[in-house]
Amino acid sequence: MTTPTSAGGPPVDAEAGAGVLLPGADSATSGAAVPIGARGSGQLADVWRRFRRNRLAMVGLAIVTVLILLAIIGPYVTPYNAFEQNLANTLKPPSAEHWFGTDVLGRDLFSGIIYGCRLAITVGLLTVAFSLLIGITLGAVAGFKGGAWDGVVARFIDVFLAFPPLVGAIVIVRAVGGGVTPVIVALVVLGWMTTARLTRGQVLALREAEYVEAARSIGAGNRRIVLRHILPNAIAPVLVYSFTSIGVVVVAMASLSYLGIGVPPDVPEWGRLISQATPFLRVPGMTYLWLAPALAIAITTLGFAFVADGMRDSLDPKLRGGN
Amino acid sequence: MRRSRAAASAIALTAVAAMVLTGCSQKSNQSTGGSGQTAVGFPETQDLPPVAGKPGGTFRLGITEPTAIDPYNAQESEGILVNKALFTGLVNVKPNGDVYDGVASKWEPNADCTAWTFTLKPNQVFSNGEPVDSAAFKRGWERTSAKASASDVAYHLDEVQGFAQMQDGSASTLSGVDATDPNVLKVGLSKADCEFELRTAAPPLAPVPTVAGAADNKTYNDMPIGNGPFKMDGPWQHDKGIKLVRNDSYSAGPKANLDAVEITITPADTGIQAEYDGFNNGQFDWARIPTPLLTQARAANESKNQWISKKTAGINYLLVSVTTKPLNTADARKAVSEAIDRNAIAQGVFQGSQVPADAFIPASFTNAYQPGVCTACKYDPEDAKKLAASAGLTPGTEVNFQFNTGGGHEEWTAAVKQQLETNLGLKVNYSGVPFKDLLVNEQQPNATGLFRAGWTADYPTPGNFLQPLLSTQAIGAATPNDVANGDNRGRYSNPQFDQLLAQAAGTQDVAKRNDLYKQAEKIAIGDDMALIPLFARQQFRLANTAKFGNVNMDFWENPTLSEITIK
Repeated sequence: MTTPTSAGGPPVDAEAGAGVLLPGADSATSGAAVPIGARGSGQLADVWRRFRRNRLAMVGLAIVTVLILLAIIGPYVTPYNAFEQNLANTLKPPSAEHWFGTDVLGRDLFSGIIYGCRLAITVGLLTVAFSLLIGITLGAVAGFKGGAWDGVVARFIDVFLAFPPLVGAIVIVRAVGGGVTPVIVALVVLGWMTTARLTRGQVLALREAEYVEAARSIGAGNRRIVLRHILPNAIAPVLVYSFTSIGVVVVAMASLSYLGIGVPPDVPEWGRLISQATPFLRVPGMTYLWLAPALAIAITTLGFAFVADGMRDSLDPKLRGGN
Repeated sequence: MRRSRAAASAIALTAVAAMVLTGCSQKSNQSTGGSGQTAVGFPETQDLPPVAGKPGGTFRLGITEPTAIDPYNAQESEGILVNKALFTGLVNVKPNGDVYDGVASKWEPNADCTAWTFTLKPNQVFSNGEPVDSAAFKRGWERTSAKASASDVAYHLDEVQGFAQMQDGSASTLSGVDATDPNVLKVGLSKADCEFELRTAAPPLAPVPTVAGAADNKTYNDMPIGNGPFKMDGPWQHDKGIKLVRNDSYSAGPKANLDAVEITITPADTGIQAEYDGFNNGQFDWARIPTPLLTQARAANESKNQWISKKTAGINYLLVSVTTKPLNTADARKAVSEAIDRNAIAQGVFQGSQVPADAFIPASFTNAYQPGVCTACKYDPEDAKKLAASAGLTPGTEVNFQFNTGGGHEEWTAAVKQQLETNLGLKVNYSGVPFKDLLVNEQQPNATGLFRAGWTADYPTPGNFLQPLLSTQAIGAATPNDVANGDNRGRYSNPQFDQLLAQAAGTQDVAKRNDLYKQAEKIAIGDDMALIPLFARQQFRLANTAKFGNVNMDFWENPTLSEITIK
């Protein structure tokens, strides 16, 4: 199998960093004639086969699956209402009644962690989805059109990258007001740039590819070329990056609530739960207060990172035919 | 490969199974519930018997970096600690708020309390030998009130004639202060105040020597020369420490016993933990205690008589915007107050370190405290519902509730929020904002609802709680559409209350005055519920009583340095 983007193909745009190129052979040759589903099946099966061999990736996938499940059904199956306080039963260590113990307001921490999972996953996925939408659109326009378009988008990216993410997010959330939506807005505003850069680099490289030329020769328009030919091949490294960045978003949101910004302080968000536990750091026997939310954040971040790693490895053409 | 898939499936299955098994119905979290109605809080400790003083010893403690130790701008507890060691004002204040002589041997007002005469003890000197005469006080007061000084605490002098002119820069001397006789200080006031002498214990009213110069004299700012029981041993090492040694020329009262006081400056955000650690490892002889560690600290130290627990002159409360809906009626405010289970919060969230308030004037004012004057401070959700209904505070009514972030208020405010929602069905718009924003928001003419607030006294008088926080004059807004520039940000205004306070200010007899304060408190808190008292201020310290005697907490919650002696 030869691929237009294998060794000797056009180099990835330097700005895009260590992007990963999707082997585009199947789709390139089949072009628009074959429906997307059919076109990708053989290749996807290939990718999935390699992914399955990666033990860490599978662990990551399991974690991510459980987290998403928890996010969907969690609040319906938690033993207690995560918000319900019981001031007569505060700061109780883990027990059969309360698996993770109770917090300073007497709330069930296990239920809180699961509720926090829904928040984290929702914010993580939505933030990344919107970042992808903005990033891919701008990146594709910049990469495909080039010239002034490219210049303008590149400057935009530079401007937004100039903000220190956390400080920028604090400013935005403060300006917009508290709540989950402002947090998502802030994280999207400060999070789409890398996606845009990656997409731009990929599109820049692919727009000169033979199969694009072929498509053009049979009269395909710009929109069709970008949407049907370039993007499907350009998107893999972007998706890999996005998967890693879900973990980053989860940590960012936790950091914001730890600082008392974003979701209201009575919401059992993971960062908030850690912040609430900090006065008890030195109290013997109260480790459980911060351990559970800290582990939840760590496991979530690792889960998505493992999956992203596995995706990268299984999509990497260099590994192709290896194992 | 197979194994990893198996593992993945197993994990997913277990998780799902766990969720299913934990039950699709949520358990009630109130199984052990109900609110504790028993007495909560740590009991107060008695002072240890006094010990005969003998010279010697170095007392060590940690404080966070003060704003200033120079009298013109010493303000927070830490700055006052150093300042009171270095300076003695006209009068002194005992830990319980009683006044006794400082530099003045005698003080008396005229009949209507608009002019005061302080007779000074003779032959008083600063540690550099300059005389402490009436001119030294005039100098200090003018230095504090001068416009160029931009003191944060000049308001302590606001009753003195000529203060306004000093503040706007149109005068360079305080016209109301007469220092023609070096041994007599005469003070004219712009309004009657029969307890003006209490103010003279505040650091900004200390005397200063001529070497003090203007307020921007850096040398003096960092190494003030004073007339107190201690003097500086080298300049203030910012963010590191301050060393004091006994002032052997002190004669306004008994000389200090300690040879030296060694103050270590601790980081602002971890200061209390550093004090506590320092005490436990022998670095400090006095320490505050992080709240979560109070139980542990008490258990380890109470039997050794190293644990000090005192109610002090302060209160935590909810500021209420009383002129705007929905809390513009006394019944609405009482409903909110009765819907708050103070005991449960004190016990559950504060672990007994705070005491539910049943009055606004703190119990430390033993002659003015009226237990239970706040009738709506008791938890009574049923009555609260009735009051709410009669006040139109129907379920679903939106009530704003703001607090400041970063001050450890997140948890108890969340408890208050839930109690208001559960007991009254209110929709509480609960938000945490930076402290500066909170102060600005509560000043606005359209402010509504509740704001977290706390107050500690500047002077040992109940009037210091009532006048600044509840009098019409202290709103500081010309019209209801103006920003409230005073401390009465709830904009409570009741002519009857104002009348009683004015009467109190003009009453020389302390018992009669306290009685007027009590009547005023009954109106503002008992009847009108202008503010919602929540928790009385109580302070806890660890003190090395094995090595030192006479270690107690003073009115400003600092150690009684001038009395402490090595055993």
